Amino acid sequence: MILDARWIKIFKDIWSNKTRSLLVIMSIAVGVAALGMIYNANRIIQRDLYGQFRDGNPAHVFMVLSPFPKELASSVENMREVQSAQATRILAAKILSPKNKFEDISLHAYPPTGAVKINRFSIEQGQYPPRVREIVLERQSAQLLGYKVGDIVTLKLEDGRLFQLTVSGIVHDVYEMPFSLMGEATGLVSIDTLRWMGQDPTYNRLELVVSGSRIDKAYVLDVADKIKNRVIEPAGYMVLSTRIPGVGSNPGDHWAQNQIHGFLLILQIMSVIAVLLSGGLVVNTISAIIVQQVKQIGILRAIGGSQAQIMAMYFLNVFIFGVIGLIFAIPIGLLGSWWLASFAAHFLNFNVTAINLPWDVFLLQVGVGLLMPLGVALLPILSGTRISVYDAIYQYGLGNIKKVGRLEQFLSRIRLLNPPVLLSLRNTFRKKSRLAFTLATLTLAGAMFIASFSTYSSLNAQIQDVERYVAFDVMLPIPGGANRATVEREALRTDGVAYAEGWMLSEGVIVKPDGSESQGIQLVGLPVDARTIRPNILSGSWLTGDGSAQQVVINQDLINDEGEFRVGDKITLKIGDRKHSFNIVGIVSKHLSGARIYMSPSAFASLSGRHNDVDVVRILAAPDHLSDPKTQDKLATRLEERFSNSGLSKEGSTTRHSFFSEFTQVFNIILFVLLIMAGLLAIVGSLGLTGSLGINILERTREIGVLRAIGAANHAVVKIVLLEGLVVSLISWIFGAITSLFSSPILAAVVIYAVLKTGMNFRYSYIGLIIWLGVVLLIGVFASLFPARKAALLQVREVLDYE
Amino acid sequence: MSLFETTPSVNTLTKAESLSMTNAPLLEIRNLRKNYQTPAGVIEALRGVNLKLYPAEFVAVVGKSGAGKSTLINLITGIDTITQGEIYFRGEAVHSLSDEQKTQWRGKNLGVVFQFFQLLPTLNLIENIKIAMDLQHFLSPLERYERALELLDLVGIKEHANKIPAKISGGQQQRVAIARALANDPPLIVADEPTGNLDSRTAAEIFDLFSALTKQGKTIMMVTHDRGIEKWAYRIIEISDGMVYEK
Repeated sequence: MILDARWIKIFKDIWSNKTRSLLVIMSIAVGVAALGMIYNANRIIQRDLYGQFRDGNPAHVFMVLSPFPKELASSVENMREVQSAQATRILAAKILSPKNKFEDISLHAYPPTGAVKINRFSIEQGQYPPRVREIVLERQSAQLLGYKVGDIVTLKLEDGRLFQLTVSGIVHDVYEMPFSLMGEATGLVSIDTLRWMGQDPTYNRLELVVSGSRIDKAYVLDVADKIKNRVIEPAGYMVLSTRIPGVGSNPGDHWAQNQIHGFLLILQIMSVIAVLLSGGLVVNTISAIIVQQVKQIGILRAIGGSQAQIMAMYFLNVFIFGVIGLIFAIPIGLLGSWWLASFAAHFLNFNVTAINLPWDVFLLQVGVGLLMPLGVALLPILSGTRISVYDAIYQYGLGNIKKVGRLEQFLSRIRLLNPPVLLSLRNTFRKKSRLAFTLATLTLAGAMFIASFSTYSSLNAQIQDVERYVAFDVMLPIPGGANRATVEREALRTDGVAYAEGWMLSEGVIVKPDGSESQGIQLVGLPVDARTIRPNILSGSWLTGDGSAQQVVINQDLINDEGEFRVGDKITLKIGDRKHSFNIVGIVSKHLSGARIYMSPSAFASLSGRHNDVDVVRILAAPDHLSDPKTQDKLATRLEERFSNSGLSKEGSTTRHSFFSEFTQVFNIILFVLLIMAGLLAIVGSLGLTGSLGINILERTREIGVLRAIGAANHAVVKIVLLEGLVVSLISWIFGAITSLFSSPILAAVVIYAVLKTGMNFRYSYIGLIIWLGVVLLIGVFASLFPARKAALLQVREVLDYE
Repeated sequence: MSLFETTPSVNTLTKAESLSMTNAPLLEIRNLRKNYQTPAGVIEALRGVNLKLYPAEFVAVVGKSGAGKSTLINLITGIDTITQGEIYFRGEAVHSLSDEQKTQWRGKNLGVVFQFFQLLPTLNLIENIKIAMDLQHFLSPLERYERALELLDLVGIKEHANKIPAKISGGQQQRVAIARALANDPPLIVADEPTGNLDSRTAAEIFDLFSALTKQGKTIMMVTHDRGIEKWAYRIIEISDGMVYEK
C-alpha cells in the first residue's frame, strides 16, 4: 500500500519533533490516565466494597436494648415490616497487644444456634463459631495487633479482670469500622465464653433488616418505633437507643459510602482538570506547529491542497498524539486504579477481587483521549489553515505593524537590568496567548496544590474547634459510676493532677411531640463551671447556676441529625423509662462525634435518677492550661494506677493527644491523595511549561544564533532560557496564590462535607503557598533545562539554515 | 503512460507555427489592476494589464524590482486577490472563483515554481512531487509513485529520489520544484524568478528544461531578471510602472 504523501508528512513531522511530540503525548497520557485511574477505582470500589457489603445482608438499624433473650429477635422477625432480626451481644473490653499495651476491643457474641444472617462476615482462617475460651478476630484487628490463629490473647473487662483466650479463627467483616480507623479492634466470642467471663448470657443489641420497597432513614426509624411499641416494650424490655449504622449513612449503605462518594467526586473533578490542562498544552503545541508551518501550509495551498485536506492533515497529527497518549494512558490508568483501590481496600478493609478495565471506563478514556485533543485543536487548526497563500508564503513574519502593548513599553524602558535578563523578560511576554495557556496550566495546578494544603489545614482547624470539648489532659472512665466527691478527691491525690472534674454520661433519646423517639443521643451532666470544656456558643448561653435544673445546651450535630431546634424551645428527653422536659438555653458548635446534650448534674439526676454518681473523670495537670503529650502520658499512667489500686476503675485512660492522633492519621491520608492529584496537575503544568519554552526557542532560533554570533557563551544562552522559565513560574505562583483564595475554600468545604458531613472552619495554608513556590520554581528550572540545552547547542550555521 | 497526456505533437513546432496553430488563448487577462494599501498610501502595482498567453509559449516577464512582475504572477495563479479586472483560463472566469475553488483550479491547471523552491522539508523528493498528485487524487496511488519517479528522471535527479530537500543543492531543489509543478500535468507553468537563487550555469539548465517543456506543449510564464532569457523565451513582456509592454 502506498500512503498519501500528506499523511507521510505528518508522521515525519511528528518523528522529526520527537521531544515536542512526546511532551504532548505525555500530557494527554497523564490527564487520561488520571481520569481512568479515578473512574476505574470508583468501579472497583463499587464492585468490591459495596458488592461485598451488600452480599452480607447489611443491617438497616441497630436497637440497643436492656438485656434480652434471643427469642425476642424471633418475635420481632415475625412483624411484616421486618425482613430479618438478629440478637447480638456487644461488650466493650480491652485486648493486650504484643507491645504490652491494652487496646480497645468490641466483643460480639451471637446466639449459639443458627447462622449469622445480618452483617455476615467471611471466615478467612481457622474456624467459626468459636468454642468456649476461644476468640475469632477480625482480619484487620488480628493483623494490626499481630495475632494469628493459635495465639493466646489476654482480655480485660471493665472491672479489671483478665481472661486468656485462644485465637481460633480470623474473619473478614466489612461492617465494622476498621481498627486502623477507629482504634477499636473487633472480636467474636461465644455466649458461653461470655458466661465463663462472668457475664449474663443475654443480648443487648437487635440488628434489623426491614422490608419495604423504599427504605430511607425516616421509614427505618418509623419501623424501629413500631417494633419498640408493639414487641419490645410490651415484652418488658427497654430501648436505650436506636441508630442507623455508619457516619450519616442511609440505611443499608456502607458506613462510609457518602464519604467515599464525596472524596471520589473531588478526585474525579481533579482528573477532569488534569485533562483540561493537557488540552491547554495540545492547543499551545498545535498552534506552535501551525505557526512554524505557515509557509508549508501556503505551499500546500499553492499546489492545490484545499483547506479541508490541510485541516485533515493536522487533525491526523493530533489524532496520532491522542492514540499514542492512550497507549500509555490506559495501562497507567489501570495500574493507578489498582493502586488507589488497594489503598482504599487497606484503609476500608475490603478485598480487591480483580483488576480489569470495564468497557465504559475504556470508552471514556478513548473518547476523552481522542476527542479532547481534536476538540481543543479545532480552533487553531481552523484559523491556521485559513491563511491565504499570499500571506503564508510572502507576508508571514514580515512587516506586520504590531501594536506595542503597555507591558512591552514598560519593559523597554527598563535600563538597569542586564540585557540577557531583559531579553528573558521580553521573551516571556512575546507570545501572550501561549503564555496565557502555560500560566493557566501552572496556575490551576498551583491553586489545587495550595487548596489541598488548605483543606488539610481546615480539617485541622475543624479539629481545633472540636478540641474545645476535649480540653482535658487525661480522661478516665469509671465503669458503673462512682461518687463524684470520691472520684475527684482520688484524682486530685494523684501526683501531678491540679484539677479534676467528674462528668455523668448516659445515652438517651428525644421524645418528639408525636410520641416517636430519636436515635440515641449522648447526655452529659457536668459542673456548670466545668474547666475541661470551652464551648463555642453559637447562640444563647452556656448553663447558668440559677435554674440550671431545667436547662440544657445542645450541639450543632444534634440539629443536623434531628432537625431544627432553637434557643428557647422545650425538649423532652428520656433515659430508660424516665422522661423530663427541659429548656434549650444554648447551642454549641459541632463535636464531630455525634449529637450531644449538656446539662447540670441536678438536671441529669432528675432525668436519670442517679445522684452524684459520675461516669468519667477529666483532669488537668495545670488548672489554666493543657500539658504536652509527654506529661499527659505520664499523668495517664499514674491516674490509671491510682484508680486501679483504689478499685474505682480498672479501665484505660484517654489522653487528649491520643484522642486526636487518629483524626490526624485520616487527614494525612486525605492530604496524601489530594496531593497526588495536585502532583499530576503539576506534572501536566511542567510539561506545558517545557513545551512552551521549547516552542519559544524554536521561534527564536535566529535570535539565539545572532546572540551566539556576537559572542554569547553557552551559559548566557542557558541563563536566558532558565530565567524565562523562572519568570513564568513566578508569575504562575502569584496567579496560583490569587486563584487559591477562591479554590481553597471550595475544595476544603467539599472535602470536609464529604468526609465529616459538616460545615467548616476554613483556614488558608500559607505553608502550602510557600511549598508551592519551591515546587513551581523547581518546575521552572527542570522545564527549562532541556530547552536551554537545546538552545545552547544551536550553531550559527544551523540558524542561517533555519527558514 | 505518457508523462503529458494533454500534449499534442508540438515538440517539433517552431514558435511561429505554434502561435498560428490556434487562435484560442490559454489565458486571457483583461484590464487587470492591483492596488496595495500601505501606511504611505495606496500603491498601484498593476494599472490595467491586458495579456493573452497561448499554448506552448515560453513567456518571460522582465522588469525592474517593484515593477509588478511578481504581482502579475500572483494574480494569475490566484495566490493574491485582484483589485479589478478579469482573468480567463480556457474561457473560465478565474477571477470570479472563491478561494477554495481557485485552489482546486490551480491544482489541476497550474504548476507554480517559486524562487525559494518551497519544498516540504520533511518529505523526500518523490513524496514532494507525489503530494501534489495526492491532493488532486490524480491517477492511482501506484501510478502517482511511478509518475513522480519519471518526473524526477525528466528533471535529471532520479538518483536522489529518496533524499530530503536539505540534502541536495539549490539547483536540484528547483528541479524538484519544477517536477512538482508538472505532477498533475497542467497546461500552464508559472514560475516566479526560479533562477534567482541559482548560479548562471544552473539557471541555464533550468531554462533548458522549461524550453523543453514548451516543446511538449506546456505554456511557461516566468518572471526573471536574467538578461540572457531571450535565448529561450519566445515572448518577452516587460512590466514597467504597472503596465505591460511586449518586447
